[in-house]
Amino acid sequence: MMIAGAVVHGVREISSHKFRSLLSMIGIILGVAALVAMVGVVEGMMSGFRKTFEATGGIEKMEIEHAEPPIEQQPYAHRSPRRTLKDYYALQAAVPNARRVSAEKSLNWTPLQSSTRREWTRLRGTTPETFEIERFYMREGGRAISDWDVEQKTRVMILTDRTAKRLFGNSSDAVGETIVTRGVVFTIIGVIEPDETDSWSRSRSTFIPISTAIHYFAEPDDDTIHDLGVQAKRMEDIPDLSDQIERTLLVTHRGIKDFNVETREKELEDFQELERSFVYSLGGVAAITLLVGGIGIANVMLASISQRIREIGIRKAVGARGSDIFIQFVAEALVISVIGGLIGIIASVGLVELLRDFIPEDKGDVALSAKAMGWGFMFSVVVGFLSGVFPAIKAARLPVIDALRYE
Amino acid sequence: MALIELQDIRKHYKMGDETVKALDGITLNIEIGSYSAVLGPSGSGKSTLMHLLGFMDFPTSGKMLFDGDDVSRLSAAKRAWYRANRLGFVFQTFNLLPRLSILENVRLPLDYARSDRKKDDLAKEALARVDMTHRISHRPGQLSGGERQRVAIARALVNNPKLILADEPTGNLDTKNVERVMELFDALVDEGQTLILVTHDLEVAQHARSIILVRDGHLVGGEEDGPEDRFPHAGKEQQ
Ligand SMILES: Nc1ncnc2c1ncn2[C@@H]1O[C@H](COP(=O)(O)OP(=O)(O)O)[C@@H](O)[C@H]1O
Ligand SMILES: [Mg+2]
Repeated sequence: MMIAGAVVHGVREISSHKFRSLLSMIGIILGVAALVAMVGVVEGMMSGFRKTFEATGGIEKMEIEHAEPPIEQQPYAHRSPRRTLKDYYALQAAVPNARRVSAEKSLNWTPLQSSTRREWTRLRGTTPETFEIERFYMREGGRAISDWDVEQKTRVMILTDRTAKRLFGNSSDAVGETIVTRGVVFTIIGVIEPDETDSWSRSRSTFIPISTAIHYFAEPDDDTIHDLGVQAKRMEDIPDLSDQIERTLLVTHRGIKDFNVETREKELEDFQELERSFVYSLGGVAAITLLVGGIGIANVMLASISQRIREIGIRKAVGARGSDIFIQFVAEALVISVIGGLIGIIASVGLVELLRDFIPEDKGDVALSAKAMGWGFMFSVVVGFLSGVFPAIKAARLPVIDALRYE
Repeated sequence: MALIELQDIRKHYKMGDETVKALDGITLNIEIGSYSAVLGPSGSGKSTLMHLLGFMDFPTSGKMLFDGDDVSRLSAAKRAWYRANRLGFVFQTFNLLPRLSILENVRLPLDYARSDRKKDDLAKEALARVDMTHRISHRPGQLSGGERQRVAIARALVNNPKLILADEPTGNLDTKNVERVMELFDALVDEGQTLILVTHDLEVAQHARSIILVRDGHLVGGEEDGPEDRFPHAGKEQQ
């Protein structure tokens, strides 16, 4: 019999045992749905990471991290002032090739008090460049922190749209209002334009000049900063730039190498490593699920064959060859797995919708991946074929007479 | 001319240490257009003989010619080809596929013969031959035993076989349907069909024109007699 005929027959055979067929499909359905949904989650996370990565300076950004000095310098380590605002100015003066130099003093969670309301946010003492690097845009009628603010330690503050709304009801009323935080009065000079894709923490950040943060909120003898960054104009500049940075900072740190210039290549590599391990473990999970699905199909096929030995005998008696019987049963397994795969894809749409509600948006948008659907479907067909092969061989090999005599 | 020649055919089954000699040295010619009845006690090897003649099994030893070709050692696929293209089989238990329609059941040998012929038309013709055209889209379960056997005969006819084999075709039928089936067989033979049937029923055997008597895997005596004496008593005259 031709393949097409075998497929038509398979469809009929399956529709005459709907419940049993559905049971045998469950493994495949779950396997495909899980695969598509998981790929959706991982891809979403990955694109979320990429967005954050870009929004925090991209691959061109270098971070100057605090590090233990080499062992021979350790007795003199206290001579270094560590990373301070002086480094920021020194880098700006000494590294003209850099696109941007930025610095930050983080103050963590701090209550903001308006005349009527109080709101907790992350208070960040920053330099003007932070707004460009992290792509915070000001609403009309406000401005960002300027160099002058940093020089003068002005008590100005930038709120996000969310915080402004929560404190003043209407974010456009916020500019010019005052806020008290930790006993210091600030004037709001700008509100950040909201962005739908803003992460949870982005929408809960509040900015003041870095110098102001150090002056009012750090311990009296502590003028260190938490972040020092340089953004290159082009990736190719990075090696030269990091040499220049090192030389400049060795001067301000009095020869103590208590810092590291770190490029974000490592971060990107770590991330890609993570991505790879996700893909592998996902692949493993999908393979196991589909394997279980395949065993399910094989099991049902074997059961169905032992119920149909007589049918096999009759077909052979009127002229079916072993290969005809083989094709018939493989086609049946294929039909089961194709239908299972299609149902799995439909189920994955629902599953992805469900996951969307559980995964915070800043961790990435869970998206349906056509590629994953294609792969899932292809796998299910391959699994169906393979799981049909063994039972089909068994059926094809049954001797005519024994099969006919079988009760 | 002989359609089939069996020369010293044996079929032995090994059952542990013992060997069951289901057929033990059968030499026999089946002439084209002949109509034979195979008789013999239960367990004498009638079905085994039919299976060999029907290409469903192969002999342990001996030679079998079909249409002059040696077919004693055919591959399973080649035997399937003969079943699909050269033979029709009618069983005691009808052996129709319950989930296929009557038409599909009758068409089945043509499907496996991979013929380009108009299968549905041929199947309908065969069903017309057994007077069952009115039930084309029914399932076997909706038919009576007699009707089912007529459908099975249509299936055996549909590929225009050189030989029809019927293993106790009337064993599950009532008298009226036995008559109807036998009339059909007689008509087919009158048109030149070669036919062999196994039966326990002497009246059925009387329709045949020759008798093949089997006992313990041996032929006891087969004869071709004139129409007046179609049914001699178990071939004793030969001794
Ligand atoms: N597959 C088999 N294995 C072992 N013995 C068999 C097999 N088929 C038939 N036989 C034996 O061969 C003998 C002939 O069987 P069979 O041809 O079916 O007899 P009949 O049809 O005349 O009743 C019996 O003794 C039977 O038990
Ligand atoms: Mg028998």
